[in-house]
Amino acid sequence: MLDLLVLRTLARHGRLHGFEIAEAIRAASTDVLQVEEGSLYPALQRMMLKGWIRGEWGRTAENRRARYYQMTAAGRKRLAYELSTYRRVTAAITRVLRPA
Amino acid sequence: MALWRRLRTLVGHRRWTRELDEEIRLHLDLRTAANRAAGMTPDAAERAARAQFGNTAALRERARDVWAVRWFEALGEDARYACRRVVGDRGLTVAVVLTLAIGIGGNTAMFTLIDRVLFRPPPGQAPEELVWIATTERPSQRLRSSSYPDYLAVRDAKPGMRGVAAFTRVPLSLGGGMPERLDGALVTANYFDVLGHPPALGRAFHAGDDAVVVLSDALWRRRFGGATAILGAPLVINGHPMTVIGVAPPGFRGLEIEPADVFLSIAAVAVAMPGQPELLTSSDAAWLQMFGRMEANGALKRVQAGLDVVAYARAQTSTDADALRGFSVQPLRGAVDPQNRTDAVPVFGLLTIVPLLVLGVACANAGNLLLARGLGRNQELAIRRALGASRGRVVRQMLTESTLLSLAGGVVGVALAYALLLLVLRLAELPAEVAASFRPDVRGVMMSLVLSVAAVFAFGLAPALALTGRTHASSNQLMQAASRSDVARRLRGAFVIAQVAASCLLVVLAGVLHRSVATTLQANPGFNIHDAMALSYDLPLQGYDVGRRAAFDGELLREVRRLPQVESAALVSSVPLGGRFVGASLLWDGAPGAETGHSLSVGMATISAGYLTTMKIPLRRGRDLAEVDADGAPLVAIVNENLAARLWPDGEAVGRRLRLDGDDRWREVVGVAADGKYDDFHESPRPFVYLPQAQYSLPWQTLVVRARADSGELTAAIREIVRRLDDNVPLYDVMTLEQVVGNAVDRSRGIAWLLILFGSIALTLAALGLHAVTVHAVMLGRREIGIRMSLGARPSQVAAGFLRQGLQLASLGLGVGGALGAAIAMLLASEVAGLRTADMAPYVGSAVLVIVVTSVASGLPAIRAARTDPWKAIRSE
Repeated sequence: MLDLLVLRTLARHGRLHGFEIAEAIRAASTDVLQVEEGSLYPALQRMMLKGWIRGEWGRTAENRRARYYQMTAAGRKRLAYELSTYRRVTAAITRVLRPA
Repeated sequence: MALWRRLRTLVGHRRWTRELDEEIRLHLDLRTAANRAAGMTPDAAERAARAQFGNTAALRERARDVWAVRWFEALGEDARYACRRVVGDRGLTVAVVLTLAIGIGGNTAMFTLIDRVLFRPPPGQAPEELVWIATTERPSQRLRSSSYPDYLAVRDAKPGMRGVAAFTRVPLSLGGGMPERLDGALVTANYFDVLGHPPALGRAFHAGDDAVVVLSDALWRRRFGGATAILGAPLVINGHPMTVIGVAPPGFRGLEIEPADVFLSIAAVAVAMPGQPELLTSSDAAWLQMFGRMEANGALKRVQAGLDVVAYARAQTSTDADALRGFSVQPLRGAVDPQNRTDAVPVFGLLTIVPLLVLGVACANAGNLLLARGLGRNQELAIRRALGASRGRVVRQMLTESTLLSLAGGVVGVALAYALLLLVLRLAELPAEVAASFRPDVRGVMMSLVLSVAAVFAFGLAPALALTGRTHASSNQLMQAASRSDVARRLRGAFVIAQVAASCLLVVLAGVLHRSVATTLQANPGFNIHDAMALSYDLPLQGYDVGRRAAFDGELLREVRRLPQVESAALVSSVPLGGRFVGASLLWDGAPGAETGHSLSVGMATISAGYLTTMKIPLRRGRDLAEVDADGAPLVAIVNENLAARLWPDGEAVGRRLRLDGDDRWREVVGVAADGKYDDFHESPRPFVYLPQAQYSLPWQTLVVRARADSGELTAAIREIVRRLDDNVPLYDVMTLEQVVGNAVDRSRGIAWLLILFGSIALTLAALGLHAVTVHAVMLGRREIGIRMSLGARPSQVAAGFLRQGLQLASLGLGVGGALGAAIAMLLASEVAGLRTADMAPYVGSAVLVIVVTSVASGLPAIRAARTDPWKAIRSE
């Protein structure tokens, strides 16, 4: 789930570091999704391992060192896949939950 | 790709951790700043940020876990920890490593031996293409050497093969100047080519080359100074002039273990093996060993099918003998030809069992030691478990330690194997270059590695599982649990007794044999060994016929007898105890047996007149041989007392008649000589017959000379005489009779030393086993020791208690081993003469040795037990 959110965020914004991704998710979900912020980082590591995102060290506007993440081509494919899966699952749940 | 990334983070672990920390810190700072911007106080902002973030440490671990290299890192941790423990507990480490080294080393040595003899592929290019081709006897499928017609048939067809060659080994005389007897090889012209080792210098043979030789590198350097002008140089082989056309590569040993000195082409067979013209034509003369090189992607099955066709085709057109023979192709590995290999395999198979048993014992001992030591670490174990280490983790860590010990044992084991092989081969009296090819090589080291790893599971797993079985709240409980396994304790005790018994047995036997050897030297071999020499020569090899031989022999004897130092001289086919014992089957007249064809197996030698005097063998009855017993005169023989007593127990042997089985000429006994030793020192008295050389011919000849002179001068003088008669005839096996006898004794001594070697190894293992058991007992009884000491027991009493326990086990083992040893010695005494079983020295010596060793083995832990601090012991819960 987190993977999907991160990938979508990166698709929308391009190049972000960890904090920015957390903020973007919070903002986009209008504070509904409050994930334990730290759990972002293991997820980012996992996605780096799988090759869906790429991390590069750069500098923030305040000149602090930060690791900026970008989606890769494989990540884009994964995003498409996850999105379609998500939509299918949601549609199925909706059908089940339809008021009688 | 993922794997690559994983490995990268493994290597850059520190950097990875630093980067992640930096990322997390940035996040927290930014969150804190955002909180402050939202109006919180700095402290609250920070706390909120942390709370929102989560448990940093746990998250860091989860992030790390993603890369799943944890187990690698855990391994590294385990290894470091294991190193610390191993170095810290030096006594135990030494004991375990030594035990394992003995077990692994023994197996490596045996493996190297068997590998070299049976399995190692021959050196050079594409060794898997080389195959043996043996002739088979049709109905039985028994493998044997091949005849020359066999070789021609296979060579011409060469089914599925690029080339077929053959060879045999022959002794050769190198003449001229300093004549020398060589170990030669007779090979087909394509021998070097099929093997893929062309001569380093010059060329190999062409078909029909009958007057050329290829030297071995060793001979070229030794005798011809390694001169490059050797090509084209003349030499004399077996009296025939030859030319050197090549030198083999250094270290070349063909397909065998012992390298040949010189190579001759098969076309020169009449020179190398004179007087046997049927060798090239007879299908019954099996004297060649065939081998071939298969096509590049050849298959054994195809070759065998092709060979079967050859055999079938031959059976249609040939004599009966060939119709019964086929061919068999065998993969070429090791150094034994296929007909002997089938016999060797079961023997070696049995031999592998012994070192494996030893390894089993070693692993059991090592396991005991680890278990014993583990009992003392129970507290540490409990703490680790309490801190959250899973059982698997602890077991893994213990196994890592065991692996470290095992690998160390393997390394020492390889060194031990090397030393063991050197010792054993030296005792077997193999020449140095042969012994060199038995060194443990890469395959041997790999074997050690495999054994080390296997051993870990054999000795490390059980203690690890046992020690971590249940978390024991106190050592007390653990030890109660351990001591409840009384059966296990008894088993361990019995095990130690068995080990001590086995080593005692070997040591006792070694001692008995050694004593016998020592006293045997003083025994009478039946002839006077002092001031006498033996020198052998081989005239049939030079192509001498019977008449020329007789002339040469006669002239030689005359000249030698004329030498001033010489007291007496004579000729004999082979000198007693010289290792060339000849037997024969005898028939005789006088009841019982002449009619019924009963025969007696006897030893035989042909002698010249004056032999008995020269050797100072007493004549009991009748007369010695004389000049009158010549060719054409009435046939005579001399027998020894044993033969006379067996065949004619009632009366006089002189005047009776005997004949050799297969020869219908009767010979009259004219004298009876005293008994003696003929084949080896440990034989029981045996019958022996002497025939005059003028009346019966054997191909071997040795000159025996009795002279009170310096052996060097005498040899030089005799060599001069021989040189004048024929300067191409070498003298070989030149030694004093004392040396002849010494060599015979050395063979038995070698066996005694081997037994001592193995006995020592077994004793070391047994001592280590006893040590383990004592340490175990000390560990188990720690609390009890503490109590007793605090109640007033003196340290020496405590130590004495354990020492006594250890000695009890040892003496039981000693008793069993000694009794078995005595029984075996007595059994052997009936087979082997000269074995003195009544001599007590070996038994006393072995007992002392075993007691001393086992005292030390159980004494060391006992002393350590005595130094226990009673309070610490009781309180170590």
